[in-house]
Amino acid sequence: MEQSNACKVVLLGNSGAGKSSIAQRFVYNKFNVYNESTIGASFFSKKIVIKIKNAIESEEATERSVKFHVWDTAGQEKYHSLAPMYYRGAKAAILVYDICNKPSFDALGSWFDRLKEFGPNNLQHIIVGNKCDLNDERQVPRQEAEVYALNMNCLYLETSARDNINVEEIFQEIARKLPENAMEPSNNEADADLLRLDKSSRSIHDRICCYS
Amino acid sequence: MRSIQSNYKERLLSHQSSGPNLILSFIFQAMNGVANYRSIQWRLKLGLLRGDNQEKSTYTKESFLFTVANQNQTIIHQQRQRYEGLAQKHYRQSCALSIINDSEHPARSGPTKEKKVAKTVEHPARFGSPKEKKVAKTVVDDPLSIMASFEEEKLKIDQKKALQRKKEIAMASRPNLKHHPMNTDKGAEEIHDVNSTKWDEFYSSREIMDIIDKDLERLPIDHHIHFHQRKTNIGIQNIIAESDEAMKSRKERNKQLAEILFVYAKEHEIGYRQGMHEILSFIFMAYEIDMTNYAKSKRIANAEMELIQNCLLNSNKIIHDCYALFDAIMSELSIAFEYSGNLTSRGKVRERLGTATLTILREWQGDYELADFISELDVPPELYVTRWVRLMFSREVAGFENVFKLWDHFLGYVSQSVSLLDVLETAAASMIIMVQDKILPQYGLNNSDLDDDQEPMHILMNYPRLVDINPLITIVDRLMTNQATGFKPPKVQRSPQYVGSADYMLPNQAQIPIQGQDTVYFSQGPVDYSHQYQHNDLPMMSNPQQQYYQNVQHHQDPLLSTLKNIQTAPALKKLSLGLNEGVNVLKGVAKDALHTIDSQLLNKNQVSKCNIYRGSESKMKNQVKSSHINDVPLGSMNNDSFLGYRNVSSAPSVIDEDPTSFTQARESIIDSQSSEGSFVGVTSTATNQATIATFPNTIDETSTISQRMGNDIAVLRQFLQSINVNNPQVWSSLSNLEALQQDMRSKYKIVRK
Repeated sequence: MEQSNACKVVLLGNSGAGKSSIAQRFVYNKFNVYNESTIGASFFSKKIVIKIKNAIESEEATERSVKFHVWDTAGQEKYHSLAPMYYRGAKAAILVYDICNKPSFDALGSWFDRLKEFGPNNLQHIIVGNKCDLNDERQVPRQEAEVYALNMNCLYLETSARDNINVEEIFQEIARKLPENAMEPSNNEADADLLRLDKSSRSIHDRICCYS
Repeated sequence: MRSIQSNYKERLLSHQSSGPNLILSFIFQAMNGVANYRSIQWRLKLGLLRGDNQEKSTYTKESFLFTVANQNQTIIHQQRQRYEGLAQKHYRQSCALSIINDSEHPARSGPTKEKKVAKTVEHPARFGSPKEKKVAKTVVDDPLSIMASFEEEKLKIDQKKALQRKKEIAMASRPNLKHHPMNTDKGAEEIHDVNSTKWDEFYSSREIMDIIDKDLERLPIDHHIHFHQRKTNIGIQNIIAESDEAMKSRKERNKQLAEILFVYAKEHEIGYRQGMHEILSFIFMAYEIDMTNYAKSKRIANAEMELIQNCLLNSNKIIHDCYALFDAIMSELSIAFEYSGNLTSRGKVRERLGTATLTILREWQGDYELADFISELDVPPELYVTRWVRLMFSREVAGFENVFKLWDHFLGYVSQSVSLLDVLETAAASMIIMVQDKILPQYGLNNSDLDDDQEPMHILMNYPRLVDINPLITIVDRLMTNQATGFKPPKVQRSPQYVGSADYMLPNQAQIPIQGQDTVYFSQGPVDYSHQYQHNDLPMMSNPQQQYYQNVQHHQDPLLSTLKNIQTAPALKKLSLGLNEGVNVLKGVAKDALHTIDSQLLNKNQVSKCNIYRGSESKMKNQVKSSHINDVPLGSMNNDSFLGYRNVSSAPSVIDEDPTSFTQARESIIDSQSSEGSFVGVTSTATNQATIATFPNTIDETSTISQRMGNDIAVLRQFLQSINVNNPQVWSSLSNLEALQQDMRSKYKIVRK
């Protein structure tokens, strides 16, 4: 049994945290030392296949292919009037900070605020501490970040786009969590709006309903 | 110019029939190389420099540079003074400097120290421990290092903050970085209020600096090449390896850029926005290239040169001049960086970039269908148009030379009534028009069947870099002409069987003759190009030529589609400039050929030199041969050995970069001959005839060149006739070209005898 659907994911975080590097590692499996700064936003898509143990009919694992629409936003675009465009219809937000840059970690709170204000309701959050290959220059202790993530009730991963550590895992995790998230009944009018606007997310919704 | 000449020569030697598109392509290459000293042209165009004769500014000659420099001495001085003041205010005495002397961070100081702290801020010299004084002194001219030295203290504050946050996390489910009422020490808060504006300013400055540094570090490496070349005169190869030296010069350049960006951010409400750094870097690069070119132009230092280097291309004032240029460009462009909804420029409220682009599509292209389709996509045009416009399309084209050509073109349109933003929005509409075939829903094909990378959204968000910018420029020209003349084209109607074709390349207005300022370029009024390229209308042609015009008919040649649209005044002007440059190319090739033989004859007895020459010559011949056999495009030839060949063979020649008139060019050829021992005279002696016999190939080559060049010119004339060009300049350039070629041929006939 194979299912396919598209999932919009936004990458958020301060400038230089490594959002574009994560996106490029995930989509093209490559890494540039000098990546140009993102202006506005860029867009990638990639399909991955995950296996999910079906909880109800626990006989066989479901093969699910998920098409990711990755929106990589510019760090400075936080307050742009267009920024809500990026969040609209998103299924997951990856909040990236640089473990060697304390301010980028401190800024996570304000990113959460923005998401709370403009993001969709059933958004999955993942906190990602990038550049974990530079452990010697670490400014944010792992424990601190873990505590923070725990309090925010979201997953925490430490990644390295350069050494390809945990990048694929971010998306695997998102994909695995998708059904539960999407299955939540959305009574919110704004959400209904979103689904109408975003064809691909509507198809997720339909299929998830059948699936359950 | 030099490389175009050698390319052209190589083409002539390797292709049996070069065909008109070759010579045209070289003319266009040369033409695009015309825009020398673009940093000066841009400044003229944007009103930063005054030029009496605007016409001249389209074609900068060095004599013209002197006039400009002479006229603008005071203006430039004022501009530089102004920047000096701003830099002094914002950069060199930034608030960071005064605050560094404030040893007491508000969080640590008690209420009693309030007065003292305030005083310290005002009079840094009078307060603080000796250690602090020392810090202030050493870093006085560099806010960056102030910030670095301040890092330590910041860390402590951060740690405190972190502690506080931990408390908050424990107390509230949602952490808040703002002061939590339960956790704040009252005394500290009072102090914080007193000094908070100062500190806020300091942190905001620091934040700006941080982000500027991060962005500059991520500039593509080719931005640094010219700076590095100017500094060290070493090749590009070394830079890519990023030697320590290159790294150092990159840092140095980034520091200069950072200063400009910082001062701009402080001086303007909009502050610093990502993307500005790339705009500035290109401006900086243009200036750097101009400086290098001017330094290379082999002039004996004199008062004129000194003035030009002082006023227009001064390596010590590059920051000042680039700031002025950046400021002028940003005065238009900053709107694109604005976050808020209401955009105003020149006193009028503007539409948002995306909306404006769609309006252009509807009004001036007449393509309502396309505009409606775009506006109904999931992704609003704002998302990609903003990016294009902010960077002035610099990431949408491949190679910085293309970026410069595009910017020359954009800025060429700027006038009292046309703002840079208008042009950029038009260019954005043109970009969409260029991919219309790919994004409009194709008939019989459901959108959901499309692969990811064929989805309209994907195409628009990941627009492939343009290698050839001419199609884009063609469409921009057409839309701008429509806007200038108020011509609204009829609504585009697509037939149900609409399948993608290159139709968009064709002009669909051309209903009215386009008038230049005082000249009507087409005496016959409307020109319908589709008829021009019917076989029957063309004179009898040999096969390659016929093939060529068949290509024209099927719009396969981007160069030709450009040429077909030369009814606009600027395009026509460019063509005539191109022909002038064509003369220079041919002249250069001819001169080189003569020098080759001359130098051989003169160096006959210097065996070593001859050997070097022969070695490299045979190398080159082999390459030419192999390119014959494999039909490899000559551009892919190994450049190193080729350059080596050139260096030996044409060492004594003087490059005449100045696009002098044709007669001068001819004279200079004759002069150079007589000065190095009369060419004809030398060959007439018996000994030298023997020498020539040992180099028969060289003479064959040169005669081939002249012969094939003659073919090219003939075809070019036919082509120009066929498109009814009615510009006297174009024709005089062409006849100059013909005369030069005939001159060459007659000379070679003498040599053969």
